Amino acid sequence: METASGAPFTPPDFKAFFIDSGFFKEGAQIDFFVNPKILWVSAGVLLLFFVIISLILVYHWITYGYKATTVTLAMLVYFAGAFVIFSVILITLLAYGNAIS
Amino acid sequence: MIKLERNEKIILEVRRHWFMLVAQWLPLIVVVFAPLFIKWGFGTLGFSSFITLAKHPQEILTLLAATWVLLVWIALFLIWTDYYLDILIVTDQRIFDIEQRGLFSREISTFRLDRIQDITARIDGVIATFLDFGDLHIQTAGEVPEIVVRGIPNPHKIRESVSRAQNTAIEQSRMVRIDGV
Repeated sequence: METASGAPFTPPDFKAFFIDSGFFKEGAQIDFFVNPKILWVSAGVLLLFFVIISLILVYHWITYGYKATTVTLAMLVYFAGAFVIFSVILITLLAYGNAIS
Repeated sequence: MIKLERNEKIILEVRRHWFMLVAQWLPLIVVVFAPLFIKWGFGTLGFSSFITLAKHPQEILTLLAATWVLLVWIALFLIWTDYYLDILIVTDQRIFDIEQRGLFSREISTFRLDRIQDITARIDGVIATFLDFGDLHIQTAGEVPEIVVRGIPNPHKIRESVSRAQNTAIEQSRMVRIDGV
């Protein structure tokens, strides 16, 4: 990658910046540990949010929709996509829980 | 849904052009890749050399990305719902302009064809010209002086269809009056 002047692009050295500013000591590492319970609760909140939004959407599609075929197709695509995403979330949560324990 | 009168027939149902939907979807389709850009930026800018995400960063990142994709997925369908529920219905007697604004606001304007004073179709811009979509301005003598239906396909053809339906409606109302006399 090159800059506009043609000189090769060098990314800023954030590590050096933080160490020079006294924010970190050399060799320090910030490790974020996330408790699996927090992740499960977050996933539950996400699921609840999804259910509420889906109920509102489905209500609109059924009440105001013009063609049953279009509405049915929309529901199939919407819930199939959501199922795939939630499956990824579930599998990842289980894998994370196993890896931590 | 709308309630039609006895013997009232639907002539035309018009929704916004598909490009209007794609134009609204496009930013979301770009935004869905944000986690990849963030991950790339994180590595390129050197943060990953001293900041690590737990002992299993892949799982955490996958969860964050999946959550993000789910939110974008929901947003795509919210936009589609808004697009799908906005419709202009022309019957042989009336015009219904149904506009869904978000999830909790819905406006239905109805007026008789013989109340129409002027119809203007307008196509503005390069993309609109090539894809043949534009706005339809309908001026009426009713409570709602003007209705603007934006981004509909073939606006000139629709204007002609509405004009034709209007002429037929006016002729029929005249015939009824003559019969009545």
